[in-house]
Amino acid sequence: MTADRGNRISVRRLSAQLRRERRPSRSLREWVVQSIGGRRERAVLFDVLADIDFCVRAGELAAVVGPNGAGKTSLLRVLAGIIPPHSGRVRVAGRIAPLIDLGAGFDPELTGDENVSLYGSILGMTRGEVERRREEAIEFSGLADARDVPVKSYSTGMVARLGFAVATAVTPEVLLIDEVIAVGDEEFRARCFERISALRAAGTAVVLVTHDLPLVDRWADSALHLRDGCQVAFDEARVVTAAYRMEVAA
Amino acid sequence: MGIAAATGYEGGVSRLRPLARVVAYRDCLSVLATRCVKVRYRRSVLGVGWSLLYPLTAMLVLTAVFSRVFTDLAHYPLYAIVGFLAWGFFSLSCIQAMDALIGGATVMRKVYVPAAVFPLSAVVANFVNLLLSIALLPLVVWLIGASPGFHIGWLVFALILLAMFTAGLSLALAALNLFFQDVRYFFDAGLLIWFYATPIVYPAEVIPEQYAALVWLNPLHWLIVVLRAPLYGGGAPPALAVGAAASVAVAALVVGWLIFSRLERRFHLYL
Repeated sequence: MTADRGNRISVRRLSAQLRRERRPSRSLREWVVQSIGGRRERAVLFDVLADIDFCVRAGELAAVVGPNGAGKTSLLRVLAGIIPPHSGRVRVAGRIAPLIDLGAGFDPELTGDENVSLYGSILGMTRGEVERRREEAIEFSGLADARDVPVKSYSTGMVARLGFAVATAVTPEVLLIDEVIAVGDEEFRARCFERISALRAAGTAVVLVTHDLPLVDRWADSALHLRDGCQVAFDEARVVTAAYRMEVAA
Repeated sequence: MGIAAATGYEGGVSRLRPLARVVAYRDCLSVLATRCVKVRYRRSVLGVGWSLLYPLTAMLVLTAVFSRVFTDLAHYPLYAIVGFLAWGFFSLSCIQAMDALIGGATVMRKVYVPAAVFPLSAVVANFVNLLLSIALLPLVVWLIGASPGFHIGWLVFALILLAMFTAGLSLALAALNLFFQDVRYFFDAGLLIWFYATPIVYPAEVIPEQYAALVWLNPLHWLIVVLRAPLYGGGAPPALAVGAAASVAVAALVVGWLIFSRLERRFHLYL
């Protein structure tokens, strides 16, 4: 307990596995035939993350950097509780707001207003929590005029704004962000970072996956560099980005 | 000084047992169920009226086709419609539960949600439809000039059993369907046989003696018998049917939940 005091996120020797083949699923017919033949095909698993160690304290922002396919999004999914660790230990304290894809869970047929209820409830908010924050979220997203319009007629940026507004409506202890802020315009990005700063001041720990190194230098306390599912470095943000820049340049 | 587990995930609702997680997400379940109903009727002129039009149409067709055949059955339309409503609830719930879990995969890739809320939302939505349709039964009774027995207590009891059975089967099917994409098609085909093998549009008595076991072993038969009693028959269902229906309902729910929560541990590999 002593080592973890003040840590909102603590990850120790984490490994996680996913399936190698991306075939959606097999057929029952195939399975029965294979079972009878005694040669049942087992799912081939591989380590999408191996031996990851880091922690994030309350109010800190940790950036996750690395090339595509390094396991950055998978790490967020482990932190969100979607992928269970294969080995190692992951502790995340408090309410988690996963912004892995803004508007995941939006229904295009429903209006903006109805999607606030839907998305809020998917994020685990109670009906009361959603109602108390509804107006604030609509206001923050700047979509008051479009609240009664089906979301299918929204632009990507509008969906992102509404998603971000709902997900951060109830102060989370942990905020997981995957590049999503990139889809909004400059003004929205500025508002997002303003909100993120306010949340950090209130103690929210933030994990941000991004390719934007200047942004990491400016905002992050620490950074985790991943490559092929392995941890290259976890250190002060500027130290990690400097090494990463050298590596990319080399 | 608590010693945390050396391996595993601690966070969000992970401290809760699987069943408690679903309870914690009950608001999510009800929002999803509301959506099922809303999206289905949003763009139709009749709106929610559709859910009522369907059983009415079924009743008219069944009456037109069969009432001359089963003349010794008093108020045949009412007999058939009650069975038909139960069947409709059961079969639509199972099919939509499978689709709901597949559809929920896009959400479950991005946000942790207890997977069971997706199939269960389909069951809840169809249950609401069933209640609306049953509320319309007095109209049917008035149309055909019947004066059936009615018992609210047994009706509630029967509906709870039917919902338990349907929820259990829906959970198991939805989970299996995530791993094996053809479960749905096998089930679709099975449903057709199951429908005709169940005394829904015909009385149980017309089944020949040598096939009586088929009816005896059919869980839905008992559930429908128990539901028919308070709406069509004399009020209280036969004790044998109550016992059989209660057993299959509890068994289906327990087994269905165990299958689901067991398979759920591997869902992330198939999302």
